[in-house]
Amino acid sequence: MALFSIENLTFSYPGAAKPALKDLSLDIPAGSYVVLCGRSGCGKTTLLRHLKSVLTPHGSTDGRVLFDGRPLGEVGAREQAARIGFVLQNPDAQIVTDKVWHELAFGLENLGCDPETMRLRVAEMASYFGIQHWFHRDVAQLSGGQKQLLNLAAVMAMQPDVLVLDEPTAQLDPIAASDFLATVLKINRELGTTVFIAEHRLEEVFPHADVVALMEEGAIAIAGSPREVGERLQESHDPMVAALPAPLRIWGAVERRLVEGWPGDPSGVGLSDESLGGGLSGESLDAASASAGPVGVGPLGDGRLSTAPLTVRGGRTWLGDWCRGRQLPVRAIPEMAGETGAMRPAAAEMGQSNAAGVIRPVAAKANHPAAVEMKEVWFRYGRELPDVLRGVTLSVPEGQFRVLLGGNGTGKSTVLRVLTGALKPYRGSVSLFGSKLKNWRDDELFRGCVAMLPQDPLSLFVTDSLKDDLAEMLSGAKLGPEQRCERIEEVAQLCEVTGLLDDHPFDLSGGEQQRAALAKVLLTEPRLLLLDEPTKGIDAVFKAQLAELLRRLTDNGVTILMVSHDVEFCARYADEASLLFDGAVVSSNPPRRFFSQNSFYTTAANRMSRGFFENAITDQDVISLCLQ
Amino acid sequence: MSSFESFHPLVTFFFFASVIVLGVCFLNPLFSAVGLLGAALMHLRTRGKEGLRLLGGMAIAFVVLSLLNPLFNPAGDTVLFTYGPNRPFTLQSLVFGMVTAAMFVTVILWFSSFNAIMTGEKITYLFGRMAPSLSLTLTMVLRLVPTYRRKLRSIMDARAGIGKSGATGPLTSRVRNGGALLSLLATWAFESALVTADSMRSRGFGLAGRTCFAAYRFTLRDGVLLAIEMLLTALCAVALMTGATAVEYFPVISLGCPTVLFWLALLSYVSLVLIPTFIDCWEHILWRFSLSRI
Repeated sequence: MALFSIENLTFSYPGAAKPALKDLSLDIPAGSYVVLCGRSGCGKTTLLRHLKSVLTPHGSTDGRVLFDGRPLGEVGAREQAARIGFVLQNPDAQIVTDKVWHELAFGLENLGCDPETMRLRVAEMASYFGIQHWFHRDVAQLSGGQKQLLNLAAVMAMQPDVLVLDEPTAQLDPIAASDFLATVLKINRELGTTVFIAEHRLEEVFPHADVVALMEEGAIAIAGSPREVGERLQESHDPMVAALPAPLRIWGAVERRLVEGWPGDPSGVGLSDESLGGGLSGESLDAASASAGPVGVGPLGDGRLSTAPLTVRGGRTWLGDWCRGRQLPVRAIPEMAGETGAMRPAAAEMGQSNAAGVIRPVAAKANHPAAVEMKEVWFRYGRELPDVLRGVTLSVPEGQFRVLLGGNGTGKSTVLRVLTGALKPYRGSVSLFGSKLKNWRDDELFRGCVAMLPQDPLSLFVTDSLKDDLAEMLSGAKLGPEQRCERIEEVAQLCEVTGLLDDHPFDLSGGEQQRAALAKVLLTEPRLLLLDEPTKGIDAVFKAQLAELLRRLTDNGVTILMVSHDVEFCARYADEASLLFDGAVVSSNPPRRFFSQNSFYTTAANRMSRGFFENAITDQDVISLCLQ
Repeated sequence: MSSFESFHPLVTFFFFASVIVLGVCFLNPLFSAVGLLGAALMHLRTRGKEGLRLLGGMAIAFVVLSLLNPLFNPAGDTVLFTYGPNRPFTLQSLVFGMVTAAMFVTVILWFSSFNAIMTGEKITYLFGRMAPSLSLTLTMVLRLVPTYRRKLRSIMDARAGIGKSGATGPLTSRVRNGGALLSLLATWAFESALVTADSMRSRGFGLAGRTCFAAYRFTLRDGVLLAIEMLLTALCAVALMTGATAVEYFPVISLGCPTVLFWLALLSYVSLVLIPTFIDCWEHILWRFSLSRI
């Protein structure tokens, strides 16, 4: 029996023109793991909030939600509090008390649990979640990942039947996010707790989901097993394809292309240009294959396709079979392909150039002084504290898109802050565009030279509307009112926030906030743009847009230094990648060499194709090698 | 880490309440010195090396406050020197200044240790049962201040990255910058308060019959120590109320004739302020002793 039955739910916010939820029906069977996905703003949060009366927003509702066979409204507040566990997105603001132990006990205190039971439950949860070591800590001392784990444990202490999670990993780094999702899975598998999770990190949740429900504009567009949904998405060329696990994406592109008669079909050949070089793989790939023939009717149903792989392991099995059955003449992509502006091999064979220029030549600018030149930079936050930077040497040529990868606490953000002059290294030298950082005057430095986009874009917005916020950046400049408007229009267009200018920055979605913050930063007209994890918490579609925007900037000669955990994004779009470890830059290489050297810290496509292909680091690499 | 911390909050709270109140009430130089010494020792034990900074500041405050008093109060017979148009600087006034300065410094130092040991959770544990929702509010407020401070820090860092640090430039732009910061902080605080409220309601806050998680147990050793503290405090209080510790400063300093009660109170006060130190030493000895046997 379904634990939750959502029956023809329609909901409108007061004053809204169209409903946020439209005639939505969904069953969540007891003990299942259900993933809710969809682009930001499609109504995921609104739907989830209808599953607990105290969180349900005000507005006009039609249809009903049944919990355990009863209308939710008839289930008492006490029962709902205990049986329906809710974890929200913001790890910080969800925490109520100041101590870990108190937070764990908070829900039980509210339920009026007696001290003995409470002690046992809290002890149990602390042990199960492995948080007994920080049981007595202040919550302020925890990392974001630990905070979110604490929120989960605090909810689990009440022993709920169902866990509802609203994008719980949006503000976590990838490692913490994986840990968190692994814990959620463990709860589902070991305790049988039903899980209903809205998540955009589909690679992590797809393989384990029983049901995936895709939401579009307030309705469930597709609901089914992960494979079904994956296939349906690829058939319909939904932009959400970009969020699917890489093995599934590669499989879909390769297997379906085959059915469509690749590469003999002239229209099929025409496609490869876009799909190999284009910035938005999912989109262009699928748009491309759409034109190739009647998709959705034949290929998936006719039994010629293997089972779709959801994990890297499955992907390897499939790729092994694929390679065994064929004589593939080229098994490697030349290491230096790309950054010299050369054609990618598979494309080259078919006589096509790397048209979109995913990686641009930078050699032409070799005589210019480097945009960033750090030599043996040492830094620590206090005299007694350990060194954070231990001899960082880094050189970024002008016009390059450089990414700085590395684990937590390796000093990535510190490097950026040293470059803005906010932190002063105690040894070593830092130069920007050929002159020493200390010789730059502050007003020169931040007008037209350096600007940094912080990790939390919201820290930049200080007014009620985006327009005012952008205007704030021009307050010191000697410009007439018209010029100001012009500048704002210009940058808004570049960052695609023109339609959002009158909105409150806090009301924008994660991806919109990121672009709006970027617009604000760009008003200083920086030659060197520093980005601190800009892809955190934004969905795959926004990521592609961001990449596009960054590309436009580097085309205009802006140098970009980006700190990131996002291996996939860096592999795909960066000119060069550097690894920061233990306070120093360990290696700097073009992404292809950088990632194909690594065996763990690399992209899913690379892990999947290792041993079959060499130097294949992106989906397109693998697809092109498969389909040569 | 002082082992005094490991006692039940009631015991530690009573200790601080007692020494702070007594520290303010005693105006006897001997008692002041004892209080000052105890407070300084405790402060150093709880704050470690970091504590030296506050202690240094307090030493300066002590000197300044002591020297200031004779400037305002020329009473007293023993003139040390005169200044200005024949205004005397007297020994009695100086000593009185030192006693009041010691009182001030003592209280500050006790509070510094109090803050380190009586964490928010202990306070709410003690007073929570009288008013459960009040205690929760207190916990949340205690958490808000450092949270806001951290957020402000991160906003300032973010703005420094686009050249709007507000640390430089003309006054008008700095003021504008400060205003912008505060408005952002307010918006942010409001947004996160909404989430917190959701999180609380979602976990059943507001249901009838809220209970409190008891993180502390009152054991025999807590009982014994509490009894000792009460006894010592009572002795001091009796001495205070009967005037056994009274001192006359003007025109000449007179400690009166020390009675048995006076000595008893002094001994009690010394024992009381040194309780945490005693306990630490005792545990230290125990530890050494038990280690040597392992």
